[in-house]
Amino acid sequence: MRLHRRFARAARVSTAVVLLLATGRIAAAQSSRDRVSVVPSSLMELRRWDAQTERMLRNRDLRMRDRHEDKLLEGRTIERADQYYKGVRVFGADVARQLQGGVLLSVFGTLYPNVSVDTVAKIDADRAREIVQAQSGAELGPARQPELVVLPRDDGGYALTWRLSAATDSDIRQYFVDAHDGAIVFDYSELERQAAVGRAQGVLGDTKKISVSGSSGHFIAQDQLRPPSIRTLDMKGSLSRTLQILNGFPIVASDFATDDDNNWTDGTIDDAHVYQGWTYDYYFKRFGRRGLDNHDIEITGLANPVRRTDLQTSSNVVIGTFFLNAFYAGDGYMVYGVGLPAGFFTRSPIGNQTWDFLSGALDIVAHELSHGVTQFTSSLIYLNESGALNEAFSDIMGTSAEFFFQPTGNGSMQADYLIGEDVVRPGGIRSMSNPAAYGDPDHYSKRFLGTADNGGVHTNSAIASQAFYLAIEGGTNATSGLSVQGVGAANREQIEKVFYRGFTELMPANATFSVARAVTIQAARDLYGAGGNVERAVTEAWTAVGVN
Amino acid sequence: MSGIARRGGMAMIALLTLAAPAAAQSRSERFWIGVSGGGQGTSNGFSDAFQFASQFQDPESSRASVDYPVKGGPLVDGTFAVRLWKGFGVGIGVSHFSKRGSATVTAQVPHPFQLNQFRSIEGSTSTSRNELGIHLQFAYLVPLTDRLRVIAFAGPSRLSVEQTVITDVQYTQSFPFDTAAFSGATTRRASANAIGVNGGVDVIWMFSRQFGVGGLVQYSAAQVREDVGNNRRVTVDAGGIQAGAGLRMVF
Repeated sequence: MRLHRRFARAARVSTAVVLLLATGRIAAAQSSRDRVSVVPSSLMELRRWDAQTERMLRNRDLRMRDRHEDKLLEGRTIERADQYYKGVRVFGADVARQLQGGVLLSVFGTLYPNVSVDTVAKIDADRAREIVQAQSGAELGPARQPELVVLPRDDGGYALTWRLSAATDSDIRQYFVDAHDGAIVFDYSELERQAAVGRAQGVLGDTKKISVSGSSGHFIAQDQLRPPSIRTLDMKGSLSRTLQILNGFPIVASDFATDDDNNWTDGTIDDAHVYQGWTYDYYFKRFGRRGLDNHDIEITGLANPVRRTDLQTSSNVVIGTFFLNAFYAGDGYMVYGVGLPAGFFTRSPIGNQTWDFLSGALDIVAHELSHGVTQFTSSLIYLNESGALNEAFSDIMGTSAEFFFQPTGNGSMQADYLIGEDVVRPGGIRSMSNPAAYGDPDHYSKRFLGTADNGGVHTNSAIASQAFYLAIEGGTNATSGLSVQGVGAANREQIEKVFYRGFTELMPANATFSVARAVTIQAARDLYGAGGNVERAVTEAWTAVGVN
Repeated sequence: MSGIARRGGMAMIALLTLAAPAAAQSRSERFWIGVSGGGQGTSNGFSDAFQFASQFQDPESSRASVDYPVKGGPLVDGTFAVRLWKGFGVGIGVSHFSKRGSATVTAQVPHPFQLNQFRSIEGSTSTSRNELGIHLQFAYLVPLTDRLRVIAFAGPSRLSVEQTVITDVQYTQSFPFDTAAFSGATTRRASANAIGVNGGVDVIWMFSRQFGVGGLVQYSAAQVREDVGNNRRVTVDAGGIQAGAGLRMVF
């Protein structure tokens, strides 16, 4: 009360000296729905706001929060008062006043003059704490008490909420729990994060840059430099937590991959995060595409879904899914398998192979993200020929991303027509140039007709992949003996665009190989003209692999 | 003594040798005062190169090179001298040179997503140079006719240089970060001084017993090491060929 009286006495306005710090502003009160910005631009408006705030102080709709002497300008006093509604503070509503010798010099603030909300809480503070604890995963001590506040909503309404902050190992978050029904109506991070670029070591020991978020020397794998949020989670070998997230449980701060010095050293996390960004870049730069859905849907990669050391206690299904596999889980979620521990290998037509962390191969990461592109475009049904085309498109885009960022060659982290060769050594899991070497068909006549693998989606994909390869590089199909005059490696962009356009714009969901031939030929005509060398290369390629 | 200083000294000796007294100077001509306006003709442009922090705490530093074109410009000069014995005297001169210019900044800034992939940016920012010279002058007066005087002089100089230097570069960039653009530079005023030499000739035509007009050609030079921050110093040339004309007073 004493503060209040001093405030009131000091609020007399002098006509002699008035500093208007916001001179030049057009509007004195800039209103958005119920929100009013107090920015007087004339003496008259200053007087009006002085009278208004005085009335609110008398009615206790404004209550003094702070009063102190200005350390920079002698003789001046700064006062701050919060807006209240029926005894409950209105979040984000306050005024700041500057006075000299009791004379008001300026007043700025934000007020909500038309608040209307039931201020009787239906749930108590303890229940609100429980809700925030469950949401954040943080254990809150007894000193952490929620505050009842009126929260102005973006839609113009108001909510009576319990406001409570919860800190975890990588975030400090403000939660607003609806005091009537317990719903979390708003939350935001109080941690001031900034985009940061760090140095990362990949699975293969290479060094690359990583785009993350940083705050006070703590960094999390969340890209802030690209248009969509690209984040990588460290499942820390917890299959149960991995499944929770894939099943829609909320992601909490502790799920994020983190690093203290921005010198990232967990290769599987680093490569997953970096290559997700590169794949986004490839689609954007090559095709102008904005992410999986072309609207910058959030991309989330899950690394370390299991522990390699758990291999021998894991079921074959788990090994096939979370060790020797990477997969797109829908809606922008990817999971990257951990490979095999040292000393373990698999047998393939090209011999024994070791498996490193699967995120260590750019073509694998781009392959999985491309399934997301398919999800939001052609929606190729993951069965039989359409399923094989779905897989082929991912192999084609994965390889194309490799050629976009890496130098051509046969070595580690060099672009070639093998799939996953950087982490499944030697040789990778498929070949677009020589499918037969991996036991896959290079010709439609040799396609797999069984029911395994959804009708051989990972096998028959090689037919379309071989067509893509021949359209670029040219050569002879080993089965048909037909030769193709490709556009040449220097013009690979043409074939990439043809297949991208055909598969994402023109392809129906239940397409066959024959339809794939038709849509890519149409795309070649659309992009490079009918009868041109691009159309010829594409046509010859499909003919060579027996698709007519 | 620097090469510049040696050249100035040799020119002075030659001038003194050629100058022969043609007329007896008045005993009353003991003090000379001259004020001239003119210009400094020498361009003292210099270059600098440094690293600066990249955006987003990028582990790769950015690199900048800056060209400072300090061209010739206006000069103000004042001299006071006293004759000590026969034609010989000693004086003190002060000159001030000021020039505004525009420094060209070229920088290489790293791509935030790719190692060893730098993008070039270029821009300019305004700079200025002020030089204040204080010259100790050992002079010799040669009265060629009743009205015409020639004063030759030489000696050490103290040249103070105040120069705008660029210490940081700002740039803008956005996704996909294939290009970046120069947006500004952080500058500071660097000041330093150094000892150099001066020498020259002042030709005076007396239109009255005490007053005359003079034409001055002089050379002063020094190399100044400017502190440009971050424990870096840049050596800049100061002074040069200067010419001017103005009033002279003898008493």
